[in-house]
Amino acid sequence: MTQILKISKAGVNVVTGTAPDNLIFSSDYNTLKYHLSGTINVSDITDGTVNGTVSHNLGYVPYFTAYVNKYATPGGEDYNMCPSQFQDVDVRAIAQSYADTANVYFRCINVNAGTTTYTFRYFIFRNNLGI
Amino acid sequence: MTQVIKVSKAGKNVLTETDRNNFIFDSTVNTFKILAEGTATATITADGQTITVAHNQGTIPAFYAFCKFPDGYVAMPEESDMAFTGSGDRWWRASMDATNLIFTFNKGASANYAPIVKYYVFEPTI
Repeated sequence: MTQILKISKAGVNVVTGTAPDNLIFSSDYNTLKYHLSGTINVSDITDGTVNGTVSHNLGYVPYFTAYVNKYATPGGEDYNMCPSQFQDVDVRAIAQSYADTANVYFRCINVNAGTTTYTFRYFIFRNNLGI
Repeated sequence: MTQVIKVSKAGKNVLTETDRNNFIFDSTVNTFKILAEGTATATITADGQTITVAHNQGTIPAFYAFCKFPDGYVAMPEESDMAFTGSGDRWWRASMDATNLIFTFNKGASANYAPIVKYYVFEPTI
């Protein structure tokens, strides 16, 4: 017999409350598992060159997500989920993130200048995309 | 008395710790469950071509997906391939309805290609 671990929400019978939204935890369902998180500053560019790299050392392509602070100056924190496009008086840029079996890559393409630094906040999980 | 299960990070006292970021597991807060995951692929021969996957949830679930392009890099939705094969070429997005996950691809002037999508369906509903 397969052994499982379930924790139900308050007021829900853990034996009969089988719907996933009645459970705090169920070993029937996988979850995202943290591997690495951090920030990286990336200077914007005007072409498709990647100019920010984080090594994850997993040997497979992991689940990852990233946010970018569209304001280059401190105190103007406004993190946007990647990919993100934004336009201002002197900025028209797109912030992107990619991954392979070795690294997560970041770039911010600013078609107007290529002289600003942006901060990416990234989360890399242990979950193997398998692709 | 309400029973709880908590697992603290190394170096943290599970009985006195109050910062939820210092717990590996805490039964007082829900976990972000992955209900389903899988891969899908097709050969893209025209702009706007879709790959559709039934999610079988009966509601519109939260989901996320990644795409591996022929250049070997994995991209988030709303991105082109990292190689920028051409402006607007090899670009994709992900959407959903009550029945399906829908992945839409552009081809532009590029050659036909076969992206590989990895998708995750999560517990929360939209």
